Amino acid sequence: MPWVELPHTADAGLEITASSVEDLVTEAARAFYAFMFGEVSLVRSVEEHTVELECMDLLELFVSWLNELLYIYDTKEKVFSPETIEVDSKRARLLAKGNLHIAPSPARAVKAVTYGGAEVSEGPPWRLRVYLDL
Amino acid sequence: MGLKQIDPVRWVLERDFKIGMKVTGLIYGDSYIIQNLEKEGALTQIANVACLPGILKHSFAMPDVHWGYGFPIGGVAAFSLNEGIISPGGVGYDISCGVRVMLTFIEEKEVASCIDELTAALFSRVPSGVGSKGALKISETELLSVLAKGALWAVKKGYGRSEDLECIEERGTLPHANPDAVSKKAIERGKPQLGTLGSGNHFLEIQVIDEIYDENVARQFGLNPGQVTVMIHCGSRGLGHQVCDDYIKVMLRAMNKYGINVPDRQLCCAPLKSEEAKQYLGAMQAAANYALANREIIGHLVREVFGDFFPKSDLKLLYDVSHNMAHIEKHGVEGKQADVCVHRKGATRAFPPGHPSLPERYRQVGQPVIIPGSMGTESYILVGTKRGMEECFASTCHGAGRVLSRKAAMKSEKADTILKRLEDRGIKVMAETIGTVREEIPEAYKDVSRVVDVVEKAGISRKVARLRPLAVIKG
Repeated sequence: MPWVELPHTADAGLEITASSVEDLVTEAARAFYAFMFGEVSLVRSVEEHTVELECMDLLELFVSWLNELLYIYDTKEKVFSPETIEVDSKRARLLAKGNLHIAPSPARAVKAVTYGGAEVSEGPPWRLRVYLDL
Repeated sequence: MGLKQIDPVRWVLERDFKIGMKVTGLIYGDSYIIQNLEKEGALTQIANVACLPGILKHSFAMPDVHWGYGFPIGGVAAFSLNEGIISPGGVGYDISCGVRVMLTFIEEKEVASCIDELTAALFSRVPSGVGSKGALKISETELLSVLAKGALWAVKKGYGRSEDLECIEERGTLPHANPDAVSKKAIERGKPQLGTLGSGNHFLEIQVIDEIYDENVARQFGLNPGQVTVMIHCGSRGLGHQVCDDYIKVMLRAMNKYGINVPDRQLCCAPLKSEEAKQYLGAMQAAANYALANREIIGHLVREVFGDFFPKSDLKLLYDVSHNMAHIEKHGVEGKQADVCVHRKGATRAFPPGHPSLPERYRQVGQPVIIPGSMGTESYILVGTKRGMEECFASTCHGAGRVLSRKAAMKSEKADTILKRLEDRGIKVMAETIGTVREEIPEAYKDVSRVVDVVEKAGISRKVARLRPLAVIKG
């Protein structure tokens, strides 16, 4: 399993591992959705969608990526499945193109992805740790 | 090195605990609370807050303190307007998350005869759960008006009463709210969620007053033994979460601009005199207005449901107060009165008797402070004190405080067993998701009575009444 849930007194952490920075983007999304919804089986693609981020550094990029997924769910009740991912690590830029799918019923509420205790370490293996405000 | 006990309920975290601490930490707790605190990362977080520029007196931790993100939950820190900063992480994502208590004029036995039907009706009328949508359909223009006017908007639209306003902090409207400082994304998230409870530890509870500790103050508050009350706990929903997220990005860039270094990125901040701080204060107050309107609307829905069951009854608002906020307030610092910025993250403002911000009816005795317990345990009404005003910027605890992670709580007991156990104690629970019931088991929290005893022994607030739950609605 490329991710584990980390204990936290009030909230919860996710630690995700991948072989490349692009895979870490994909696996981080999978882990986040698995935490929110349990098992996610993507049904009925409803529209194409693009996420474009430009950040100060990779940590901000990953936290922003997961918060963007939360925003998409909160406003559209959809999950985003990226088909292509381009990451410019040096300039902390992300371009993800893919499809939105109808979201399943959430098992747990996430308010936000925080910077508290967050870390990204360059690889391989690439590793991301974030804590979620629940 | 580290923690030193200075009296039975006060502990000082010395400045040698961490390089860069500008002030000491002051923690309120007994041995039980300190033992729990030492098991997790909250001490480091108290020390990290003590490193922030312009911090005054101490980095405070209330007895419900526990590991959070950036600030600990239960953390209080005040900053000089000249040298100090404001930090979105010191307020949290759920801006103006708070509680209100409404007093009925019904006794427990009357409610007991219809508790199942009453709870089901409240559960059906008050939208709850993850991403829940409100019964209100409002336009973007209307939402901007909510952000500017807060609970006053709800009252003007018929979702509340004008007499409620004086019993809501800041009279129901944060005056410096700037809806223009709130992003389109935040507005998009907030528009469908107005009038919803949400999920997690948010709840609506029917309770009964089962003990009075201070008869004089209780009389002034209108509290009587056996009287049924309703407690509502919720905040600014997705709108507040997005405002916090947006301004963390702004503050990360501001720190480079102003040459500020912080030990944890979640503590990112800007000088209070800066344009970035002004923008955040305006957006934060707008999100707080959303939260105040949200609780006023839910209070209105509760009144409607109670009206269906008890047509002759009425519900009067005792008080509505936030526990995730930063306020500019006047306090005594180094012998002088000065405006300071008080961050309370999981801590409650508790103004003393005579404070000019209090409504006339409470000015003689002090501000009602609402302390919710965990699901199935008692809650408390406290009152603010002069010592709390002088010592810790008029602050006190906000609840029981977690001790068990949600993951550990999920493993401990099945939902059916929890529900049966609470039912055997006369507590009805209805929840949108079973997972919430398991995560929120009473054992996941500290004993709220011990937490409240600490703030009373410390003299920073005083017990007035205890409330026992009869029915709980969770998201």
